[in-house]
Amino acid sequence: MSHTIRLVGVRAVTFLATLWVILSINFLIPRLMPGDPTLFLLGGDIETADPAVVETLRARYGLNHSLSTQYLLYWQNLLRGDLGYSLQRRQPVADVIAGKLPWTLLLGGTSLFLATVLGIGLGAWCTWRGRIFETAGLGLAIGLNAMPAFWVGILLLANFASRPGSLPSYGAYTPWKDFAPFSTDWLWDVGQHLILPAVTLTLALVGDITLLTNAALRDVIPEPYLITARGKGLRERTVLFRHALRNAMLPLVARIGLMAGLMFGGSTLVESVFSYPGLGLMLYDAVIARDFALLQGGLLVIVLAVLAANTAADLLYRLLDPRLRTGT
Amino acid sequence: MTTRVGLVIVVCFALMALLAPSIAPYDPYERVGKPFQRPSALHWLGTNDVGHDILSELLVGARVTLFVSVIVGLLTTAIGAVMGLLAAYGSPVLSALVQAAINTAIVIPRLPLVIVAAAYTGRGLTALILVLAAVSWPGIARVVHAQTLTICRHEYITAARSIGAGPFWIARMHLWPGVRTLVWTQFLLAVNSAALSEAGLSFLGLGDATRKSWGTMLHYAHARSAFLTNAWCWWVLPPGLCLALFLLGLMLLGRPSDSRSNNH
Repeated sequence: MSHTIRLVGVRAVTFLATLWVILSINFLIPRLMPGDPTLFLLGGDIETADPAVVETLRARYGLNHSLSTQYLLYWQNLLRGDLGYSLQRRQPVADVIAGKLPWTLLLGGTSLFLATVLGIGLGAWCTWRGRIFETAGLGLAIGLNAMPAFWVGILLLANFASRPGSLPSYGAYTPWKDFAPFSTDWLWDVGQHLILPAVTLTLALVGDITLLTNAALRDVIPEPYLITARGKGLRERTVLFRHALRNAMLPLVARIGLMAGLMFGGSTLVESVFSYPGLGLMLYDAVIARDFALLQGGLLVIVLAVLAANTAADLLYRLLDPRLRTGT
Repeated sequence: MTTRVGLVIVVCFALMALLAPSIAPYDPYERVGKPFQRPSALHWLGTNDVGHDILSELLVGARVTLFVSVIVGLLTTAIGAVMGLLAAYGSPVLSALVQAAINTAIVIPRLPLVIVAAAYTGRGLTALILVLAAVSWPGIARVVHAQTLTICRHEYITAARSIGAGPFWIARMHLWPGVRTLVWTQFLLAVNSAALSEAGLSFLGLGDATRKSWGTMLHYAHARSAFLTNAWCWWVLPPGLCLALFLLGLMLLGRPSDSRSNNH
């Protein structure tokens, strides 16, 4: 067991080091960009700004300190869980993010799950059925990959949400209906709102997973253990699922883990097409409103999620593969 | 075969971008008709919400997307290749530093960072190109690094070194032929993702507001709820199709013809 502990230790150190670098970048970006952040608050025009107002604002946001003092304050606040105060929403940034996170998790989780099942299924089926099916399956996957997700979203809206009584086109729930959370009516309402964004994101992800499954299966197809399995008289389905796919799954785990992390912030476009109130749309709104505290907080959560997902996928990969258990 | 199809598609779009000002029937920035017109003999794809000709917008829109994506692709590939070579070839300290930089930068999610950066840099093409290049290089660097290490392990490198070949000679005569194909594929991938990022940012309204691109067209079409009427057929479908076809062309061009390695 000690190698597992060491492995987790090494990963944890790498994780923390990367986290430190990224959080420092997050601190530096607004401060290294040309211009003073307070100027954005005043409309970006230095000539007309009253110097006294600029000074007050700089003092309020702690910008009158030296860069190193600001950096210490930044860490002090972060470690206390204080992400700052959102000017646009008049709420602590942490509260805003906490309100958005469940929707992003719901949308991202549903889509990633559907895309994984469909992608592995399609990839395995078309690879196993031979040449024509493989060409068709891969063609479909490449075609899906070429279509920008936000465009697919608009097309789905045009076809399934443009007539009265069809699917909702906006938001994650009907705002004027006060359903009790988790009641049947509420679940039905939320489910209906979820369909189109989830289908859009699933279509955006499924091509990649199909191509990956195909490539991974292609790698194991020439392996002698498949000939052995067939020679034992196992059914073709058992050969595919128990022998080929099981070994081909390993590289897939890492990539799907990566996608899971990207779901947190990568769905800004889809969330904005459907006005889905998740983290991605929040980030976009923060950009438009120049709400820098919210921007920094949002980016922080997204980067944390990506890092955590990467590390988890990497660990899982090593634990699943018996060949890697002995080394670091 | 697929490579040739890809080449034809990409060349067609390149011609479209080059010739757009002369073949476009109208000036896409001028009001040339009533707003929200259906397709007609005068306006093949109708007019948009302010009476600009959509077909002309579509033709001229190719320019921004192609220009941004190719420049970003070149920059990304150049930075990535240099970083990859430094990581493989540099002194131990430099190599370790560059590798750490690659490993850190590669996990930063691109789109959120680009969106956030757009808030600080303002909305110009130069800023967009620089930001996209700054966040896109780690992928190429990692691949070039790995490939360089593999090549350097070969005996012919040791042999070349033993007869007094300098690092630049080895890089030019042995390394470059080995990474050439890889760099080309990575360049096409970089162009692909840059085109997609540009379109996405313009769709969000964070691109260059003074120049029309396919993403900008989709932004206005969606902002004016084109999906509620039939207008999506001529306002939403064409720019998206152009973008998808261009991306498809790049993918086909970069895809190695794998019929030879078929094991079935």
